[in-house]
Amino acid sequence: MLLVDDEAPMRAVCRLNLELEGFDVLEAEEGREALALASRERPDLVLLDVMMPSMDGFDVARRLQSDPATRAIPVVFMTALAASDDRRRGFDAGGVGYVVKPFDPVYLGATVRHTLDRLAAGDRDGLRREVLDAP
Amino acid sequence: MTRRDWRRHTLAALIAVGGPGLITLLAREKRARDAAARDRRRAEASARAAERLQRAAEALSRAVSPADVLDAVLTSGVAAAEARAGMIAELSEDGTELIPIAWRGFPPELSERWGRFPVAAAYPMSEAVRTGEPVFIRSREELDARYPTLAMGPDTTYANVCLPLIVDDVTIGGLVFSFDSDQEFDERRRALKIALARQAAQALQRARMFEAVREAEGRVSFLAEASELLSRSLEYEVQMQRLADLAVPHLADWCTVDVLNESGEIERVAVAHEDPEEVAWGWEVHRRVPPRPDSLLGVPYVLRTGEAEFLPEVPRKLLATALESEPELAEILERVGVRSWICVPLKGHGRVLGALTLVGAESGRIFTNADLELAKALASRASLAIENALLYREAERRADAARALTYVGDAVVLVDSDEVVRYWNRAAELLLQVGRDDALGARAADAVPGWDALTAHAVPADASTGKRARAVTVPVVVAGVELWLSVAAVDFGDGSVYALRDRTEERVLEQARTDFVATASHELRTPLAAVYGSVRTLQRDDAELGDENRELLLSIIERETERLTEIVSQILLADQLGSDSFRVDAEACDLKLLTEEVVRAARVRAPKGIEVEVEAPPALPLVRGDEDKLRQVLVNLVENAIKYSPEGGNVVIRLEVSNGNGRIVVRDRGIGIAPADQQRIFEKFTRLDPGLSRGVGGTGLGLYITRELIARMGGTISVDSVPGSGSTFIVELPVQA
Repeated sequence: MLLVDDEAPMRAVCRLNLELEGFDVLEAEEGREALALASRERPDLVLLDVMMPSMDGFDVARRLQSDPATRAIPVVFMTALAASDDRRRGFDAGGVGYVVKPFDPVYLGATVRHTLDRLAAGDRDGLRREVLDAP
Repeated sequence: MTRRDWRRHTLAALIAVGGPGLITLLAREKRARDAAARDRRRAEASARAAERLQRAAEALSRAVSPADVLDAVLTSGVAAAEARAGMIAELSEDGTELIPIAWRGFPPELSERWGRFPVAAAYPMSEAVRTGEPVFIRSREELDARYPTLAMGPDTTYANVCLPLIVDDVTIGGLVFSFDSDQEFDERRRALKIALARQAAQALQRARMFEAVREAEGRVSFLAEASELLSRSLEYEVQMQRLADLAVPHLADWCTVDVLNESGEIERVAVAHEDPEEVAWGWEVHRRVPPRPDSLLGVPYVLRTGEAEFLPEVPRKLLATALESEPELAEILERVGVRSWICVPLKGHGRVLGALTLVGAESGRIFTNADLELAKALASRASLAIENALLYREAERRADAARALTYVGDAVVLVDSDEVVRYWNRAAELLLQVGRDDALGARAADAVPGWDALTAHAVPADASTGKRARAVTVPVVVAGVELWLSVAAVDFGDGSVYALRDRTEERVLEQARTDFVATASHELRTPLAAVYGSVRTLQRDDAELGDENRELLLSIIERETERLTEIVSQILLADQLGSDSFRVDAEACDLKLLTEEVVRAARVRAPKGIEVEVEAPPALPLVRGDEDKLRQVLVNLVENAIKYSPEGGNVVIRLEVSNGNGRIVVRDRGIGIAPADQQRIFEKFTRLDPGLSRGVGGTGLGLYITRELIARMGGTISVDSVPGSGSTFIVELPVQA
């Protein structure tokens, strides 16, 4: 699991909860670092903040998509950008999940697991509907 | 010895001389005596005739007016001719008729019976005028024989002399002398009458010319007076009333002026009569019975056709016929007692502007051609005056409008129906950066930047509906700069008016506010998310956190709560800075101490890769300011320097003294600021990164607050930056005295 967020407190909280759920967590505080880690470590999933200095999350996602080595890694966005347009942008950038801040980190592990299950079942569209149809 | 004695003596001597020749001599002497007597009588008659002719000539020379001349001819002339009666007729203008103009000595029934008669008629006077030769008729018998159609009737006229009145070979009329007995006209009498006629003709002509000159002089001075008073006002209503007042009673009994107003209605602008009560009635009756535009005569007719209407003697029958359909008008004309009528159009540039009406009524005056000409001359001057007044009025109105439009802050652009620019005010020049000379006459699409975008959004409101034009705000690039222009357009049929206003500043501020809300909510959400997340994690009972993690979460909550507090207080501070009640202290502050304190805290929070250094001389004077506010300034500048150095690089804070001021220079090696934005960054709500894509946090209030605080401490802040190479902020504060 790769966790990307420029906010250290946020990373700490997410990491703690994910580890309690039994995930191994890698951390990156900005885009370039995230791309390097993803390419090297091939995580099962990337939790990606959108608003970061230098390179935003959508950009990072697109780069992951364009690299054959990382294309298969699913991306779940974590962001305060809650508008439906932003969610669509997230999916257009190659995301399969979208978590709106502030979220309850207690359920972050469940969300990740749900996403992986759905993808394993080949139900990418279902994930998309879940996010886009959310109020 | 008497003459008789001498004769007798001579006779006796002759007889004494004797002889047969004596009888012959006596007879011869008698004949000679008779001839002498005849000669004497003739000479005496001649002398009397010459004396009468002389008297007549004197009377004629004294006569000044045509009436005086006629009187002189018919008194002195008739006496000189040893006649009983006389009559003078003038030749009509077309030369076909003779019109008796003066009678003397004829029985009244005769003069009543004789009106005008043809020159071609077989009458003695006609013949005299026709041939230019006098006609002498010795007796009634001769008259009846030569002119059987004359039918003089059983009056006492016997002999007649008809003489043509000729001046400079031009026949102007005829003169008749009538006698109450048969006459023998010997050479002498004929010559006398011919001389009389010649003198009468000359006197009459002279008198007429004199009258014509006097009239002309009167007209000229009248017209001069009219012109003068017309030039005295530019209000044509005033002018026309003055003109009408001038016309009565000298020229007419009534004078009115009507004009066609802008909506094509007949508007009376002047009524004149000698009697003010009549004038009041004239106005009232015009209101009560306004002229019907389709009327067959009078003002409406003249206005409609542009033709003058001249009725020297208004025929009652015509009036009655024409006015059958307008009984009220007939009544009015009856009340006025119209005898003679002139109505002339007032024309300007081929357009009928109005009509001038002259009415001859109670005075019994009959207008002549000369009056018509005078009325026309008057009308042409009045037309000119009205046109001038209208032009002046229009010019004034346009000047007013143009003046107003020149100074109006909005750009005003008028395009005609072919989309060619017809008006371009000063604000348009400034806003659209196109000079008036270049814009006027150009196609709007060429002259107005972004014309297509403007017209695509701003649909002109139809002026005739009176609906207000709705303004829309459209982005337009003018001289390479994007401006937000609010556009409102009105279509007035022949074209459209566009009012453009620069709303760029408002738009920027509005955008900044919107961005601020987005930014502020993000700024608030980020620490909030961390606090909420930490709390929820601490509440987990499905897993053991451990003391270390519990401690971590609590410290996150503490720090993020502080951050929230800071953001909120920054927003509040920015709000307070907007009001005058915000106060700062002026105390001595140790700049060096404060800077080191701020930098220590910053180093703790700075991300890896950024070093924060301080360069300061060993001794630095105290500056005057508010310690808390100064600390805040330093925190803002140092945090900004760190925040906008995402790629790392050192941040240097240098303290120095310059021009007697304490100076703080904060330099980073970060992303920098474009020159165009270097002033904007100190404005409220300004973030150079409204899309937040860089994710650099901040409310957009930091530099605004910094600048305001420094200004309130009597200092200044400026920036120097090269994009990509970093920024340098320079603060100067007064040194504590």
